[in-house]
Amino acid sequence: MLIQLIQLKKTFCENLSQVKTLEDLRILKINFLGRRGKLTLFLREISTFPKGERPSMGRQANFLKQKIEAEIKVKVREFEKKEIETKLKKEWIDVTLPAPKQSLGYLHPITKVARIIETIFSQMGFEKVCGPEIETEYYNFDALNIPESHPARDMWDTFWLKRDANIRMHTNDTNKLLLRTHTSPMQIRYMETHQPPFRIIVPGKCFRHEATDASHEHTFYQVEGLMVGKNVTLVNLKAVLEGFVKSFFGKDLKIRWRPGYFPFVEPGFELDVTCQVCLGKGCSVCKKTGWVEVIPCGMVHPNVFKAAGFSKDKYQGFAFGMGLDRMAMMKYKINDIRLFHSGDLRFLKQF
Amino acid sequence: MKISYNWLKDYIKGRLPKPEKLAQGLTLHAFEVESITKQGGDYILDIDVLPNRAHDCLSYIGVARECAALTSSKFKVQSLKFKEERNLRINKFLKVEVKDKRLCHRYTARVITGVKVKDSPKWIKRRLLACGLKPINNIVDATNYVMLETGQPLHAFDLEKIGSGNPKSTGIANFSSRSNRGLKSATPQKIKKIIVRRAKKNEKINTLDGGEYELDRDILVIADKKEPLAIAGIKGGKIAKINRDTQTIVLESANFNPLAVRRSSKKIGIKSDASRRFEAELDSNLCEPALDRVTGLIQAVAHGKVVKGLVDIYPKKVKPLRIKLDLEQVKKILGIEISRQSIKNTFKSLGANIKEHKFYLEVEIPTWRRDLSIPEDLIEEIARIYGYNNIPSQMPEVQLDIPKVDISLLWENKIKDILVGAGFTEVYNYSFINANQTQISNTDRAPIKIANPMNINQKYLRTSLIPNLLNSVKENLKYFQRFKIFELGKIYYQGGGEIQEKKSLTGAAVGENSRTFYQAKGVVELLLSKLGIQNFNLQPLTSNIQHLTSNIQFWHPSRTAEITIGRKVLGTIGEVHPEILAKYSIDSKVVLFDIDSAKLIELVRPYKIYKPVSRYPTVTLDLAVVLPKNFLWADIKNQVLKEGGRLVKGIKLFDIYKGNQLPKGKISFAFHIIYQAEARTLKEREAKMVHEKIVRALEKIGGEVRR
Repeated sequence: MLIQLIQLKKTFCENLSQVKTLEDLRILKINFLGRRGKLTLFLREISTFPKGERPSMGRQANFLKQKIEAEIKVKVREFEKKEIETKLKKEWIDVTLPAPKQSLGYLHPITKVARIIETIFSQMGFEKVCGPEIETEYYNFDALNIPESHPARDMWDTFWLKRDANIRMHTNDTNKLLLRTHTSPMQIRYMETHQPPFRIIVPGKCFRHEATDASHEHTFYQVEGLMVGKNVTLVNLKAVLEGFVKSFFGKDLKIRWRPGYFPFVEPGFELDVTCQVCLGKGCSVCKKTGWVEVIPCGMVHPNVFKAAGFSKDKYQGFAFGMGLDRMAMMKYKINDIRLFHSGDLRFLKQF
Repeated sequence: MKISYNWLKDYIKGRLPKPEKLAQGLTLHAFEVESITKQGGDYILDIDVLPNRAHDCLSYIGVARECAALTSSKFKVQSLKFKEERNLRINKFLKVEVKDKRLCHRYTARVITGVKVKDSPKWIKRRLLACGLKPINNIVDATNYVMLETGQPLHAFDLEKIGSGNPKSTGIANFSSRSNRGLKSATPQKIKKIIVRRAKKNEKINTLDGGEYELDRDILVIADKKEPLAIAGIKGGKIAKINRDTQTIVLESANFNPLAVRRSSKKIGIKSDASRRFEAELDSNLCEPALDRVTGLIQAVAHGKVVKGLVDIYPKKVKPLRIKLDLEQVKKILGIEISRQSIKNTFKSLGANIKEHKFYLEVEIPTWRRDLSIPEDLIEEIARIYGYNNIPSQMPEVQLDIPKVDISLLWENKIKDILVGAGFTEVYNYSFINANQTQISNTDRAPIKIANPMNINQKYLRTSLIPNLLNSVKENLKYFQRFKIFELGKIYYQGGGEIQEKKSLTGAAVGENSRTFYQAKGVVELLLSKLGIQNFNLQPLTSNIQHLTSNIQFWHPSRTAEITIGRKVLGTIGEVHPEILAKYSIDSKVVLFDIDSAKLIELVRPYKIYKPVSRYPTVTLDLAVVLPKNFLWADIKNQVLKEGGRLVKGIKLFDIYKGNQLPKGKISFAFHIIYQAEARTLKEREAKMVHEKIVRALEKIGGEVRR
């Protein structure tokens, strides 16, 4: 009897190795495990065996049955796998073909740079405020310690508004009107309505009456900064701006501080960074010096506090300003400032 | 200012650092050195003198003083002794009358007779050329040389060409005296008179550079009895020009009102080396030493006899200012302590005198430092000489606080992000438009005019973002067929006599596709719903806002909608009228949306509230209705919602037909209605009842319904 079982096993193994298709396998399964299958018939015959052999024969036959079932299962899986593989192979595509264009738009590079700058200052607790683009002569100049007689007024070439129809900023404000030449007027406007301590940044559009070329624009963007309190010092100003430029440009950035002159700060100085377009080698953007002036700054001039209505020596603080166009040019190595207002999608879609 | 390194050495005792090192020191402590150029055995430093130091540092002496302070070397003055002729007295040669003392703070003059006008010696020529000045003759060159050295502009007149005090004897008398050479000419027949006065209206002057200028009452002139000889502080005239025959000269060293010089220079359009310096408010006390210096130099290079004495009209002597400098304040502003000794050294090196007190220093400011008038100015001097780079940095200690946030600015960011997500690219345009564009626009807001525009195309401030956005469309059509752009920016106009400055949001979708309008509408709906604005409507444009006062139709009359919320108009969306597009030479369809961004932000609903998802099944029933063509989808939708009430959860249009199968003038809408009850399973029978009600209502308004 045992020989018969061993023979069965042998035949199964031989047959299995010859199976070519899923159909062959199905027939094989029927041949052994079907109602008239070889193993099924053998199992039925066990009851005719001598009593003493029955249990052992039963065990061995069942063991074989399990084995056959398992082997068939493995083979089925093999065939299925092969089938999927063939199917997937047929689904081959050329992944190097161009993709259809996705219609996602782009933020303007100045918007992007402004957001980075705003985030850094907001992390240092600066509040963001905005001011009017049409200003009065008072806020743009006089209150910032730049009276009409001041020779430095020529530093800001100004667009003046025509005074026909007697237009005014407000009904009872007869001041001459202009397009703000910097965001600094907001220093005064903010201080007129807020008491220190405070720290603010003011991003915005500014205008200067000058001919445009690769590095000059009559329309540009600035971010003003102002921090005022009882003990805000020059060493604080240095730390805040150093922290800012390293966060914006990267830790390895080289910087230098040098004297500067702006009537609304005293002392007044400037922060230069290595030109990011040529990395200090000298190019047209940095006028071959390798350095680019990025942040004019200083301690708020007492006359500015006076104009804002603060009593003498009660508060002190610092102010700074930076050109967003310049920052974007440095960040993205843009060599022509006119591109920002070109509206050209070939430029805008790069950001 | 161009500074010759070799020339600069004249004013320093001891060694000057190498050019590169000197340039670095100047950049970090005084003025940026923009370039160093090697020129033969010399180096030319191009120094960008700061505007508040133009009064003393557009000069070798000024720059040398800075160098001395930086290198702790000593500054040294160059002077040449000259001999005055005892028997010649100035008052026998020249009288000066200053008529306007407000415009002329000081007037000094000397007379030299018997000069030999010729070329300057080589070393003077070389130095002038190095600084970009053209050598002319030894007299003029000497005045320029001393101007570069001291910063004081000087002028030389030919005395004999100046009219005398007697108005009758001008011209001829002078020419006759020209034949007398040498000593004889030292005794002129007439005393000459110089008058410093405002020009008369329509008075003219021919200047040394060949120009003719018309003057007026605001311009100060140096004149004789008859006519102007020079525009004060700006340019000399031809009449009393020095030439090779000149024997007797008047040297002028004066101080003019800076503001007046600035205005005059602007008015007549001349900027000169002299005017640049006078505008910066020179030290009146500089007149005399500069005059003596040039006199000495001229005697050395052109010989001649110096007439004894000088004319000096100086009604209000400028005296040194004394400033109390509290040492605690220095520390309080800078945030670090700088030693008393170091502070004292700084001021000494800059030429100031110091009187010591226990808690403060009394600093006597030399009159040539007109920029120093308050303690903060002194603190700046301390900081810059110490070096901004050498001052440490330290973060401020402040009370921790959450910065206030202007919510509307946050929403602006969000609006931009939504539009970018919907495929729109942000552009920045100029705020200026031209006269035509104020007409070709969607508004009749009164524009604001620029008094001094850059060019004719930028004469007005934009009253709408549309004109410049259409320009962007036109430009981009050269490279792209289909694109979407937007701008969020300010518009400006006059309203109620006041300036109006408002934020606006405008987008343009460009493409051949006839669905462009609906794509743009989809974006506007997405934008509004993302901002939490639910109850808005898009209604066909009513005719009353079609025609503006300009009488130009801007929008396509049958492809434009108003975006409204209740009674508020939020903006407009539509195709641009083909005639407007033709004006921009755009031959593609353009759909614009133009939204009042301030109003939009007011309507934003920042807080969203969760509504539980219904667990009950929906019943979807279809219907198609044929109506006359003038019916709007919105009309049908409103009917369905009105009749269906709260059971209607959604309406989905899936087909519109207006072809041959229908009678002319009819349109068919086919749509699903989705029914659902809030808190129970809606029975199909119930849904059908409601559906039937809707059908009847549609029939009532003239619809032919197919179920």
